[in-house]
Amino acid sequence: MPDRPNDYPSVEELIAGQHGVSLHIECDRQTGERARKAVQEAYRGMRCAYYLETDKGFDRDTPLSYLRFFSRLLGSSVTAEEALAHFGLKDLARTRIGKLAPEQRALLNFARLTLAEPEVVFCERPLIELGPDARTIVLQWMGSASDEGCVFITVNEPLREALLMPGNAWWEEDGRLFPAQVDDDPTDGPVFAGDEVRVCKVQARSGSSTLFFDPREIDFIESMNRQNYVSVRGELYPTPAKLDELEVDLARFGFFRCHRSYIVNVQRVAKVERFTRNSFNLTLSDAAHTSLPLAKGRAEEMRATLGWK
Amino acid sequence: MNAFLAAFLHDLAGFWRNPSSAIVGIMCPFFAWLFHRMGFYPSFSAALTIQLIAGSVSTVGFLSAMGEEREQGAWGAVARTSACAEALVAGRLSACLLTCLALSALCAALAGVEPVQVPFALLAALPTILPATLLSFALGLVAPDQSRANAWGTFILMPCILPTLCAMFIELRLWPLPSYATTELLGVAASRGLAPFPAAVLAGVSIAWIGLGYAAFSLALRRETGSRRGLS
Repeated sequence: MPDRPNDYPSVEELIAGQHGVSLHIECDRQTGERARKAVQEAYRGMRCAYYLETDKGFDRDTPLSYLRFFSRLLGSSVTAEEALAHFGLKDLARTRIGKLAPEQRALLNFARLTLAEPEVVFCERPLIELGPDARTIVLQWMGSASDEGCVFITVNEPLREALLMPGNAWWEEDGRLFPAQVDDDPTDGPVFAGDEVRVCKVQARSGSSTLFFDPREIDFIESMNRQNYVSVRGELYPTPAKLDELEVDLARFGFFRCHRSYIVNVQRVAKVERFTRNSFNLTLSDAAHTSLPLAKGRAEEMRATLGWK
Repeated sequence: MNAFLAAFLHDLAGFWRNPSSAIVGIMCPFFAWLFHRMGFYPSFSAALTIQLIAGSVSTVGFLSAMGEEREQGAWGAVARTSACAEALVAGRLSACLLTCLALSALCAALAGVEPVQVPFALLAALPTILPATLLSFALGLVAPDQSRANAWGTFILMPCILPTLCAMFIELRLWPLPSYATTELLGVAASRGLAPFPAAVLAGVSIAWIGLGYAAFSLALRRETGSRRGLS
């Protein structure tokens, strides 16, 4: 396993030790709760805005009246109308919050966060309810706010999604926090060998069974908490194969190492987006429209390897 | 001031957005008018509907809504802002008091109270409105969910309306209850030929209930602001 020189024994020490840095922590709910209290303590005196999973809004309010209430409450220079327009909720301004879909409620909460003109934003699972379009809006907002100095601390989000947000991703194991491996300077990668056909199956486990997947079935492969997983039709199956081996074996099937922890089936890539200077996002065409990080150093290689203009 | 005004305006509008409380706001004046048309004494119609307003606005419109908001996590997002908790609660309390007083004035007028006597009717309503509002907010600040808030609200609503009904129909004076002062001041007992009740006792009981309501409210508010500091 690679060195982890900067791990922290607790989430409190991580937040104190990485003060002023955006952090995205894959952890359980209890650690997330402790992280919230640690953020409150570490950033006391700064303008902090919180978005918890339990924040549902007033059911009988409309998005417009709800945001006007917060705008007045916070003495914000951002108007409710501006916040609604920014998050694509203008057409729903007079719909009751109780009738909004979960994704729309999540966007409303992000609109509420902007009214605080925050220096620090704490979110629990910020991307969980968001579809591809809404995710783009939110990640772009996070990217631009981050560029302006806003610190984002998110918890409970899977590492794959944590890596999409501006800042550093961390994961928890047995109470300790480890940095997600990021490699922006890859060495020479494997070369895509065209449409050469050779028998190749990827071994995986499901309970007591051993499965062999045709590479064409696989959407992506991820490394998470020292275990590699193959994603097939929305299900993750643990595989004993090493990521480096899979990268070599699958290159000729159109797979690409988009991140130190991810190999993606390029045939499944539907969209490549750039949210900040250092943040790329691959949206897949699988059922869940999964988003995967694309490391900055690998973006150019991907473009060259695949012959994209 | 921002927090006070925001909470005040939000709750004032929220009262009418909530179908349960909006129906109270419509039905009480309607019953005041109906009782008047049916030939009841203005004192009875005004006292009963004012007490109903005090009890139901504070419980259905605010105590129950506060429980619902807590249950849905709506108030949590407000509590986690930098806004002053005391100002927020004061804004909500003011919205409740203003709604009670405005609807009481309307009920008194529709019940046949002479327009020049309406301010006096509002003064007479205060011994009912103040304890009911303070106790409702005290319970609302600690109610964990709506079902419990509704149950607790019954204990506020019933004592509000019983004194007038008992004085009118069974000539029983429930003077230890906070709302009896309103019944007496609006002359319901007198209309039944009962001798005037000692004013000192009425004043003492009213002050005691208002004091009790204020103490309970202060304790609940201290608990609320304490938990906000811990963001729990």
